[in-house]
Amino acid sequence: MKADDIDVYEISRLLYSLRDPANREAFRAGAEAYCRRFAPGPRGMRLLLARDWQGLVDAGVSVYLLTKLGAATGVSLLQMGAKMRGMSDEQFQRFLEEQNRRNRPLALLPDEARPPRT
Amino acid sequence: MATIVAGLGCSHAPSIAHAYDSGNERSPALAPLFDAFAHAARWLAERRADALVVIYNDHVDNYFFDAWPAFSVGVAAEYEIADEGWGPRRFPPVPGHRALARHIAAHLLERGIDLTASHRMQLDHGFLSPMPLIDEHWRVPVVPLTINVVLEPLPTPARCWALGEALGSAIASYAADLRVAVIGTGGLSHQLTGSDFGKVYAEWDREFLALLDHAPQTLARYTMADFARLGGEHSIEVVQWLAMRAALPAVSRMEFSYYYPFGLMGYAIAGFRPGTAA
Repeated sequence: MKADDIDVYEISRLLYSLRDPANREAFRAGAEAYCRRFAPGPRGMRLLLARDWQGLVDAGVSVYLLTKLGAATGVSLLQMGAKMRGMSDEQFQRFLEEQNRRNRPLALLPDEARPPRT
Repeated sequence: MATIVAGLGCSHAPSIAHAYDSGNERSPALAPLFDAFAHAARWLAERRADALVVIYNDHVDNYFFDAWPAFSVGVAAEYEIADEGWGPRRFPPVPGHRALARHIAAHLLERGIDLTASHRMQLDHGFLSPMPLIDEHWRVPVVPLTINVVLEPLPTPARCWALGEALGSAIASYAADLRVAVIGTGGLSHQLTGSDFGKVYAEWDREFLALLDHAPQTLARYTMADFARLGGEHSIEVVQWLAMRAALPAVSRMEFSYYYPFGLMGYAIAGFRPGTAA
């Protein structure tokens, strides 16, 4: 098998298996051993072990499967997003706050629910 | 004969579920969203529905890549709560309206919509993030109906519209006297990969809501790629709003709409009262 081989179906099967709490526990106990139960290919293995979220997306892995790996390893969607954007968690938080402020005039809310203007 | 008494579109998102489960609904950031849901829930309760048809999409929690139906309808007596990685949320199974579900399955096939009947389905946040805010104690039995927006090839928005039209005719041809609400979940804008991760396309979201109100059928001419370009890759879930709207009579009007662009999402909730031709 070539070093750049990757099998997205096998990676997907691996991540899908993390819906089972026993499998999440096994992954946390030994990520590489757990990944070897599947055949992600050498490059797939590297991306998984490095938690290279964007690399996995670029290879064709669904983000809805990556969230299962995030759940198993304590990485939130926001943390994943910051990594994909190449930002620190704090930088990403500031981006979102700025975006909230910019978009607020477009909100349509029950009057009593409209957030205070800042 | 059954009648559609309400249409509801609403976002679904793990963030809604997390806030609900952690008792964080009243935080200043999320209170506007939960107030909008509370208004929608009161509005829907007044429509006194006997069954809820919930059009949503699975996120690789029930279906997998071995086979993924373009459209599926749940025909089970009850539905389990999926474990999306954090353990199943603490809800009892959701009761299904089996007779209506079987009627819909048969009628849709006759109308040329080849859908799959699922006799066992686990519900994920596509269903479960908004539904406790809409019918907290599962008082009204449901018919879950899924659209594939995950594994290519995907059905076209035009086909999702046709699904909704056939659903409307299926409900109208159900023999028992039943009041049915149709709910479509998903969207609006969000992008969960790449350098634009977290980008919210608020202008497009507002335009989408306006189109859904005044010219809904024009949205059936968009492609999935159009929706992905306009609202982010993962906003294509809005086809579930299209199918909901298509199930209602053409003359129906939007009675309210709320929109809250916050964090990773353009959250929206809108209610439609089915009209009758003059």
